[in-house]
Amino acid sequence: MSIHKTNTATPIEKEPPGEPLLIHEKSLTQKIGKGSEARDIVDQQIVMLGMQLVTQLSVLIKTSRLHGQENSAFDKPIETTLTLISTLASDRPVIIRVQNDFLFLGETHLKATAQEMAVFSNFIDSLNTWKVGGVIFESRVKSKDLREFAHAFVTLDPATHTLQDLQAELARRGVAGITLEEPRAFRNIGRAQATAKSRYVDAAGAVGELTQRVREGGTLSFKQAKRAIQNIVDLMNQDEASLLGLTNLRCHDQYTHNHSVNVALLSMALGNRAGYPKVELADLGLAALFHDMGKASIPQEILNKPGDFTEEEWTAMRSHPTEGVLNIAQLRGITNLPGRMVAAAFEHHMNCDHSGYPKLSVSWKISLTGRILMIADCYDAMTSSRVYRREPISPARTLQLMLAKAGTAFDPVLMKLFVTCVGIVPIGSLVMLDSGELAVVLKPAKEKDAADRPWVKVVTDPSGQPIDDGPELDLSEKNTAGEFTRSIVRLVDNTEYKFDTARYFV
Amino acid sequence: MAELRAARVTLEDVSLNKESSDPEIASVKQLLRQLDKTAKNVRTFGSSNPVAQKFFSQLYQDLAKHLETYQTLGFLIQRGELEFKGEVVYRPQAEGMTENIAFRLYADGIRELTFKAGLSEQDLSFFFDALWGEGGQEDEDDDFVTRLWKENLQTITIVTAEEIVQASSGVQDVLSLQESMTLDAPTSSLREILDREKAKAAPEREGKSPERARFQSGIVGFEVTSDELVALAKEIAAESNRDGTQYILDTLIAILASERSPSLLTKLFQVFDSVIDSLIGKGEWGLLENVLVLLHDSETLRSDLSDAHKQQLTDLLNGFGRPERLKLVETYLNRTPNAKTDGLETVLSHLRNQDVPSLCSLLANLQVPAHQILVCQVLADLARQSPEPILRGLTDRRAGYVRNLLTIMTKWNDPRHLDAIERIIRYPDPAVRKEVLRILGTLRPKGNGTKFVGMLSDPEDSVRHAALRLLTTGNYTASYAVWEPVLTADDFYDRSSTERRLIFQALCLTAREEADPFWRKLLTEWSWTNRKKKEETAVLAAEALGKAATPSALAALEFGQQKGNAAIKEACRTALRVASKHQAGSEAKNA
Repeated sequence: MSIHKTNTATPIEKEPPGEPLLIHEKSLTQKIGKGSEARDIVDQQIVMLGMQLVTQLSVLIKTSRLHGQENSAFDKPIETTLTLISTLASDRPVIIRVQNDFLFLGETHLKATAQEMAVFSNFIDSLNTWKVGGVIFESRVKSKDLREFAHAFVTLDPATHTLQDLQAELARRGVAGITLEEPRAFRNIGRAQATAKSRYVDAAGAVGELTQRVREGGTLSFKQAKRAIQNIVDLMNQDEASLLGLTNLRCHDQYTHNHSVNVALLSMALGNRAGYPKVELADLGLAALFHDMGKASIPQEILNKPGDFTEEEWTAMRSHPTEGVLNIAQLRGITNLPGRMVAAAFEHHMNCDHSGYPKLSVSWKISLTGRILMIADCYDAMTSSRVYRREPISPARTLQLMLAKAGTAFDPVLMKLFVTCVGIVPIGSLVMLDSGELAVVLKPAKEKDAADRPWVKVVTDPSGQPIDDGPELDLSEKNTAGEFTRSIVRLVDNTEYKFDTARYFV
Repeated sequence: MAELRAARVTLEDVSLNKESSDPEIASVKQLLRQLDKTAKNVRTFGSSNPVAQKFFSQLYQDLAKHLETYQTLGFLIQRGELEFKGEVVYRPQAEGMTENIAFRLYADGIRELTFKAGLSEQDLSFFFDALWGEGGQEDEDDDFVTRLWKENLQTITIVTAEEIVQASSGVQDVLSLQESMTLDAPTSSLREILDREKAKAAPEREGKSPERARFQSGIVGFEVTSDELVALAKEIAAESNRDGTQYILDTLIAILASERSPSLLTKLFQVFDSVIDSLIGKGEWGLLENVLVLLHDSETLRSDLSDAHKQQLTDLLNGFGRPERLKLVETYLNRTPNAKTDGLETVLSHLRNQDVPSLCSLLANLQVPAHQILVCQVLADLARQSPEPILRGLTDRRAGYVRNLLTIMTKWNDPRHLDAIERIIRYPDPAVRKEVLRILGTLRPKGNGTKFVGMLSDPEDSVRHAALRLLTTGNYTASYAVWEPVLTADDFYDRSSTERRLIFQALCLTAREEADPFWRKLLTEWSWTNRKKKEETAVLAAEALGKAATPSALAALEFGQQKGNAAIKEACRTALRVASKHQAGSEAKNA
């Protein structure tokens, strides 16, 4: 793949920004302008704006076929296109790609309805004729650039010119902020080959999108999340350990999103062992993914506050299960809402002995979903660090602490199953081997009767010298003499040394 | 340009329809023609339709045969086409994109579709259900991909465009390790970690055998028994079969009973507002009834509610009947003609008098008679004390609505509404006019019958007969002057003999002796024109007079017996005999 840029050295002229097309675009512009939240907004609004951009570009190309580039017929579509670009590309360029006849905004597929298809088809055909894989727009693009781009696009004959000729022509005309991409090479894949990481990213994206929607008070659609979770269910049956390994990532500046995905993965692993059928397991995963929706109502200053909470802040934090129920019920309507999703939001801090929150003045039977969520949520929360606050606890120590509460705070049967999920020596633990090496636990032990013999990755040699890509060992393996080749002699509390084992799961 | 493109399309179509030399491609093209037809039939008539089933069955047989020979059948999906072995094998002509299978798949982002050997008839059926979003419980978050996934099919696989992009671009960068403020030690610290851990371990290991020095988790007894697994399976099944809406309502009720935070209570009551909308939208009348009762009882349940919350609650309950909400009821009922309506009447009875206009509007717009009857019942109770909207509605153009309002007024049987009803006696719809007459007869069973006489010129037979039924009861009066236009109208002789007989009977009973001159004239009149018809009419009059048998009727008959022509004399004689028999019978009865 190669990217050909056109005259990037052109100085940026200051032009008055176009008026937003819609009110929500104005608010989007403001949010994107804030920067840190931009990553959260991979939502339907963006996709909608992407579709508008495709429509406007299609209009520009059509208009160029009929009029000279200074014609006033360009004024309105150019103005609209500039507004869309400035909205979408405020912090990074916006890329419209065509791939196998499918249009993408970045990596997000733009779904066209039957009515929109005529416009989409025109645009796809135009790009295909020139063998263009994608068009990149930067926020600095100006009216003049768009006029020149559209004019060059239709005046050069693709039958006698190449994409490189077109790129050269754009450069000659001084077009800035618009880059044409060659088609990307794609591998043909089967569904099963989808990676655990990509599923993790999908799910995190879905949480980000819906959290944003709750903040904005928009309607909730679980489409993206549903596909992501279904893929995770498939993957869980093939390679649960890799997925659970990813729960160690705990990207710190996106705590809530990654925590939500981790809780979903841990809940699904636990649910799988509890005997949830496939479709119900996806339902459980979806519920777990959005268990913390109530946090969308808590001010960011509290969520990200360094140091301890005041009593008032604690009250706000403790309200998030109830806020979660109210948020999703309000935005989704109770008749379109899975019961498990409400149970997950409401009960995940309740504790089996009702020692947690919210406190209820009526008798309440905690659901199985709630009991699973309590374990998954607590485990991930205790082992995670956040931006400025709270030291994490090592996975092994966390498991010990939680097992001590089996039968009181946690369901004892589910706790037993959870041990088999993460392992007696939990995934992500740092261990010292009898060979003198340090290793990180990658997967739980295969056999129950050798539960303290997990799969590990060796990370140092016996002298403590770090190894970049150390061997992965099954500690239950024996040598020809029938002796274990290596054994754990000591669990190391990585948090005591402020050492993050997540790096071995990236 | 357009012509060129059209010419190209035509050429491509020719090649598409041309039989391929490759037998596999030829078989695929044939299968896709069948697939297209089957999909259209299933879509149009439903999968249970016999014609659709026949197409489906044929398609399945041929597809299974193809898969037996070639093992797999995989397509690449383009905008409106399917490609097989680099050749376009499906491109429907002259139809909208919505019916196009390729577009249907394309729109959901499907790049590859593969059928595999072993495909069962049920698998293929699931495919169609997933394609058109049918097959039972629908979820708005589902698309072809998620629907197909739920069926767990091994014989139909798909690859989405997004999957291809993701697999090719990779996501390693996205998951790069981020800086942590708390766990920031570099890998170079591992040496120190190891040294310190070794130092810690040394005294612990002292004197222990290597075996004992090994790590012991101390965690035992984590085996889950089969009984515990069975119990979990039962719980999972119970949770899956639970009524989700009821469960969510239970949760909201628990929050209502327990929550102390004023802001959360405010939010809760706002949610209840949307809960009402949701339940109406799904026609969950039983649950809605429970919610309304609960809200009514909330102040008892939560005596500590602040004034602001009490006001919010009042507004919530009062807002139940707001027009847009009753519009939701209307939309649901009209969309679901066979909807279960158990509980709806109770729900609507929560409305207040102020809501009567909105309820009237609902009644006016409902399409199913059973639903209309139900709302009529509610309105009959609710609007009795303030009937103005109902009375106003009588002048509405929608006849069905007005008839329903009249049904309500019949139930009320309130003479105070007489004038309002009488005002629509000339309503354009005959059924309404008839209904008006029926109600007027009920509300005013005797008295002046002038209005009824006026209805005898109604173009509709049934309306005239309804008026005559009232006028022949003998309970109404009407002066001859009122009758005269009817009797002297040109078309009077065109009326049926039955009608004319009834008119005479009514005239006799309402105008009494005022009509004597008319009778005398009718029974003795000789005419050049219409002689036969007039004679026949006079005979009918004689019969009617005999039946009425009032003193003035008897006097008229006597007169006719003397002065009429032969036929009339005979008719008058017969009528007098009938009257006398009738009188004797009445006297005997009285005696």
